[in-house]
Amino acid sequence: MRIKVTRRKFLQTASLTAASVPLAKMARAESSLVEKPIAAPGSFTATETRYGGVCEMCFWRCQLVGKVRAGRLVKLEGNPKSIENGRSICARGNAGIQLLYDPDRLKYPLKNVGERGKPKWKRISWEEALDEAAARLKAIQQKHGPHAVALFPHGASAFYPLQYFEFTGTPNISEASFYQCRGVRDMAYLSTFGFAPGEHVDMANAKVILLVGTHLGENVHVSHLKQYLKGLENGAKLVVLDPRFSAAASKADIWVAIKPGTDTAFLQAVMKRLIDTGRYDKEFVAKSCAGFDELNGSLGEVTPEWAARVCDVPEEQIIAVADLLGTNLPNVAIHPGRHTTWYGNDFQRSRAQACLTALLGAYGVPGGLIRPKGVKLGKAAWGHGVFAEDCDLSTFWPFHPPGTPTEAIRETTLTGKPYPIKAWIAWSRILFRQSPINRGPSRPSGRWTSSWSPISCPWTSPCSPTSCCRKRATWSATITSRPACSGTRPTSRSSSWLPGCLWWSRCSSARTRYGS
Amino acid sequence: MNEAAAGSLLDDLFRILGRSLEYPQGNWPDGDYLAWLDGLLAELGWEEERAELRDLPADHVELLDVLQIEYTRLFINAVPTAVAPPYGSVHYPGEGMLNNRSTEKTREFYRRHGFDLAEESGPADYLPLELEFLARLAGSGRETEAEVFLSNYFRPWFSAFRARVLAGALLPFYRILIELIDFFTQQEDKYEN
Repeated sequence: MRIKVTRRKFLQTASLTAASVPLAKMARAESSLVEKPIAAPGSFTATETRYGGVCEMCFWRCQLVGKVRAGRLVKLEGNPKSIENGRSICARGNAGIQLLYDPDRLKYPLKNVGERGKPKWKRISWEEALDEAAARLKAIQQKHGPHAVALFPHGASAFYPLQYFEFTGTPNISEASFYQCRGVRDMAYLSTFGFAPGEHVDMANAKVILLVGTHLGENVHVSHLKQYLKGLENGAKLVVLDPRFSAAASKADIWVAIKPGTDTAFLQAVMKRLIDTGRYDKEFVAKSCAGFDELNGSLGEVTPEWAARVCDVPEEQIIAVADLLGTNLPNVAIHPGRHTTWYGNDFQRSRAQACLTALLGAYGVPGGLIRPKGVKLGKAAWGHGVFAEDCDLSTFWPFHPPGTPTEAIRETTLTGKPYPIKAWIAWSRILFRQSPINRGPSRPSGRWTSSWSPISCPWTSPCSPTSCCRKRATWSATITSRPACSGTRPTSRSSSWLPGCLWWSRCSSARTRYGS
Repeated sequence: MNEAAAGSLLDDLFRILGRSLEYPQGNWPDGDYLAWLDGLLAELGWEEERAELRDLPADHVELLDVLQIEYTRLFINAVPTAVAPPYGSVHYPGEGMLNNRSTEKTREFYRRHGFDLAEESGPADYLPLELEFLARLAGSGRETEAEVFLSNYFRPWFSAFRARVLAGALLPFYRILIELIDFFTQQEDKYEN
C-alpha cells in the first residue's frame, strides 16, 4: 500500500541527493533545448513560404508550396508558378498535413523480433534496416535466383524502387491495384489503339465532352479538372452517362441516366447510328483504321430502339447523343475514364469507347485523344532488367496487362512452382483485402512482415538530383525538383534514397556510406 | 531541505525522468539506475511498484530487449495504433495530431523564457523535452514559471496521456515512470501540509 506523501513533503524530507542520481550515465551529447535570448511575446508569428513540394495524396502530382511557422507546416497551397494546377489544390491535398502529422505515421524502421503472425516490433536504425534487408535479399537471390523476390508497388513513390528491383533481375512485379482501377481500360485501348490512353483527352479544346461514368468535380486531379472546366467555359457540350445525378451530370447538356452495367449497348447504338447516317470520319477511318467492316458487321442487329430498352433510357436521347457527336467530329473528347473496373464487362465497354473515338477521328486533334510525350530521366534512371524467359510467370496468362499478375505470384509463392519465391516487398501497399493474396480471413499483411521502413511523407522529401517528380499531361510535360516544404526533419527517407542505399549496401561494406 | 536544494533535486528528477522516456538503448538502463529508481520508490513508500520492478529481467540484454519492444508499442508505432505517442498535441483536447497549435504555443513559451529548440530536435511538446524544460526552471529557482507551464501547457494533455499508458502498458516499468512524472508534476495547494 502506498503511503500518502505529497510532492512538497517529499522534497522537504528526501534523503536522495543529487550525487546519488545516475545522471552522468544517462547524459546525451547534445540537449534538445538550448538557451536563447528571451523573445518578446508576438515575435514568433512569421510564416515562411517554401516552394517545391509535390502532392502525393493521390498520384496526380500537383505542385505545392508549404506555409511553415515555427518549424511547423501549417498549410499547403498550390504553387502559383505551376503550369498545371496553379494556386489550386483539392480537398484531399489540403488534408495532406494530416499525413505528415498523423501520430501513427511510421516514424522509424521497425523490425519484427517476435514470431511471424504474432509480431513484436522494435525500433532499429536505418543502418541495421538496410544491412539486414540487403543481406537477406542478396542471400535469397544468390540461392534461388534474382526472380525469387517479388515486389508489390503502388503510387508515385514506387517509381524508383520499381525500377531498382526490375534492374536487379526480378520480373515479379505486380501493381495489384492496377487491375481494380485502370487495368481493363488500358488493356482495351492497347488492343484498339496500341497504347494506354491515360486521361489524355483535350477537353479544353473539345466541342463535345462525353463522360462514361466519369464524375469529374467530385474527385481530385486538379489540372484535369481545370481542363474540363476550361472546355465548358469555351462552350463545349457535355454528355454524361451516369445513373447517379453526379456533379458532372448537374452540368450536362444531356444527362443519360443509364441503367447500371449497360453502357456498352448505349455506345454500340451510338456507333451504329453514326455509321448509318454517315456521320463518322470517313477519311480517318479509311486512312488509319483496320477492321471497320467487322465493326459495322458486329453492330448489325443494334438499333437505338433496342439499346433504349436495354439501357432504360429514351430512344431519342441515344439519337441526340449520336447526332451531337457526329456533328462536332473530330473535336470530341471521349474520356477513357479512370477507376474503370465496375461490373465484369468493363473491357468491352472500354473497347467500345476506343472504337467510338476512332470512328469520330478524335485522335491527335484539338479536343481529341492525345498521346503526349513524357520527360526522359536519362542517367537518373535505373536501366531495365534482363530476365530469363522461363522466369516470366505472366506467360501462363496469355492475355494480361503489363507486369506479372498478382495471382501468379501468389500461387508460385505457395507452391514453389515453377520456382520458389522467397521474399515479398510491399511498397506503399497494404497487402490486405485489396487483392486476393491472403487466403482465408483477410489479415493485415503487417503481421507477416519482417521489417518496415518508413518512406518520406512527400512534404518532407529531401532535395536530391533524383528526388524529382515527372508529370506527363495532355499538352505539357514537367519535371519538378522536390525539396522539403515542411519544417520538420524526417526520420523517414525518400523513395529515391532507399533503393540507392539498398544497392550500395549490397555492393559495399563501407560503414560510412549512409552519410552521403 | 532548503528551497535551493529542493530545486536542485527536482532539476535532477525531471532530467532523469525525461531521459527515461527516451528510447532505451546502449548501456541504459543499468543496475545503478534501477537501484536509484528502487531507492526513490522506497522513499515515496511505493512498495507495490518496488515489488513489480523486481520482476523485470536481471540480465541487461534481456531487459533492454523487452523495454525496446514495450517502448515501440507504447510510444512509436503499433498495430493498429501506438498506445500513447509521447507528444502533447496528440492528447491535447481538440487536437489529436502531432505538431499542432499547442505545440507551437509550447515552443513560444520556451522562447519567452529564454530557451528554444536545438536544431533538428523534434516537436516542442515531446514529453522528455517538456521535462527537461521543467528541470531547467526548477534548477534556476523559477518556481512561478514552472507552475504556469504545468497548469497551462503540461497538465492539460498529460492526464489523458497517463490514462492511455496505464491502460495499455504490459510491463510495469513505463507505468511506474509515468506515475512518478504524474506525482512530481501534480499541482499542490501552497499551504497544504
